[in-house]
Amino acid sequence: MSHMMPNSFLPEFGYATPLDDLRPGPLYEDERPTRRDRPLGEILGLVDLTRLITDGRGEEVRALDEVSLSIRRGEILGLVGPEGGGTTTLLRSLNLLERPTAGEILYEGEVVQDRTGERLATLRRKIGMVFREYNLLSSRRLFDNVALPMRLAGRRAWEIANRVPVLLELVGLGDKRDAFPDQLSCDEKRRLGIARALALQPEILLCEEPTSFLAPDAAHRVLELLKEVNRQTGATIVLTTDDMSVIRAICDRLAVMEAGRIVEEGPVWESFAHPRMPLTRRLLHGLLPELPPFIRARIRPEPEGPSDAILRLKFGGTSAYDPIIAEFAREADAVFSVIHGAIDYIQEQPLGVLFLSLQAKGPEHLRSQIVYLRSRVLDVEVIGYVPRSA
Amino acid sequence: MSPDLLDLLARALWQTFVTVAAAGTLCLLAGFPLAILLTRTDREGFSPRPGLQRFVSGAGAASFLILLVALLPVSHLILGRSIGSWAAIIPLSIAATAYFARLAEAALSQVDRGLIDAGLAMGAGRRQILLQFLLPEALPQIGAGFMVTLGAVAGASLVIQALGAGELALDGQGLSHPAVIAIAAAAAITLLYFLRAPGSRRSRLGQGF
Repeated sequence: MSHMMPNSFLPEFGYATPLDDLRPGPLYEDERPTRRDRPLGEILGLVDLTRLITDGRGEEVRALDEVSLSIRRGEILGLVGPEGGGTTTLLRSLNLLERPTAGEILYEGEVVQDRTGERLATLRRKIGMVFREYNLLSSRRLFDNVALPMRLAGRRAWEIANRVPVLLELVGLGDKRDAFPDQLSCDEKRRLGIARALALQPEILLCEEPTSFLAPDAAHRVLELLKEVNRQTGATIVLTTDDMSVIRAICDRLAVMEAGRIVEEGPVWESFAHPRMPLTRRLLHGLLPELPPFIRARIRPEPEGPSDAILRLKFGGTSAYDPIIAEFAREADAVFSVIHGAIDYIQEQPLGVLFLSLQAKGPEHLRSQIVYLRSRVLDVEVIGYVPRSA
Repeated sequence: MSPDLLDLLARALWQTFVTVAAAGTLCLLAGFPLAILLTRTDREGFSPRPGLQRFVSGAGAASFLILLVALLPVSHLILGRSIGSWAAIIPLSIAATAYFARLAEAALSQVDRGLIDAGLAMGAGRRQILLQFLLPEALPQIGAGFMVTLGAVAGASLVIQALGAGELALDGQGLSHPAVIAIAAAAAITLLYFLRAPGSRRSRLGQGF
């Protein structure tokens, strides 16, 4: 490989900088391109990644179907979807535990999906993985479980002796270094898995369903720990889950997967405010305020006699702090009552949902009020009409 | 009891001990690599070799007595004799090796596949995964398997008296004395019990985990 030659063989660079060692050499005709231009800040990129697997009946299934995704350095990305949607396969493809049938995986712009041997091991040491089933070594003490990746990578004894206690302390297992994994509870095992995955100071941390098997408060602690790890080390975190509340708790961005495809992708806040796909709405069920069934039962699609309109408003971003409701009453001459609603904070951004029962003087008046609201909030939806009670 | 009889018993016990120890050592030395080879050439292993699999299964399944007779020429070739406890060590070791290798392979294959994933994700190579993940995790089970094998070896070594290897049981001339038979039987049963008991207890523990 040309980039392994001394810099003096590469006069086209003009002068040697330390970076030259990392740059690819000039492209020869018989050499496949190994680098791509990628978006700024991307650490891991997937291009049309496809993985075919043979299922139990011998039929070919697309576990991944032309998935393209750009993972940015330092972010927490959540892969969310129902079981069999492809989130686990995608996660396991990122460190090549599963090989793509077609497509490219780019680590810092470098094509890596065909790597084998020592070059593959080098890549994997930069990517830590936390397994759903823990996959800890039952015959080794906690200290040795965390030390194992460092020993395998040939790290020095003093480095191991210094780093392992720090990691155990970080995940709250500092006093159990001589215990065995079987003596731990589920969330302690998960945290041990996190400590082990961090042993080699990875650039990327892959977490396979980090909250599964955990009680809600333990799940919360694990998520807080991941957030802390992300903040302290700057490691990029990619996690899978089927639970939107996990996404809401720690993710910056999400990718919703179904049948091996990414059907929706973007900042978490946006998907909560404007879920584009039916699957996303289903996953969000229960996380955003919804009208209680006894009210929903009284709602008619069209007004029958004198009726109140039931509106659902979504507001967020800066508009959440504006006195919209007070101004609506004053400026649009509206008479209404708030029947349900809540404001939630997602990645420190407010997202509010409010249900109004609106008394309009007539269809014209209602239309003008809706037009007014649309100019002030993210989304206005007329759910239906409830006959006015006497 | 006459001093002659005690002397006979002591010598027989020593012979049994030597036979079992020698066969056990050989089976440990050969069985471990064979178990690893079997794991690697398994149908789902790195490089499947069904022929080798069948051969080892055959050697393990063949009755020890058949193996003993079939291997007489080999024993003769190696040790210069085809009769006696030293000659018995060869077929005994081969049968024990195949048996132990199967047990050890089963122990290796029962290690959770997830641990291999964990090793790969750390950047471990095949060798590291075998030595640092599979072997330590399977070791309690392999140990239990070895104890079971030793028990079987001791049992088989008692059978060898049929070919006149001398043993805890009898040389032909003792068969007429009921006391000799009783003492020899008691010694054999005691020996086998103590060799087999820890093996079976260990393996039950291992499975219960």
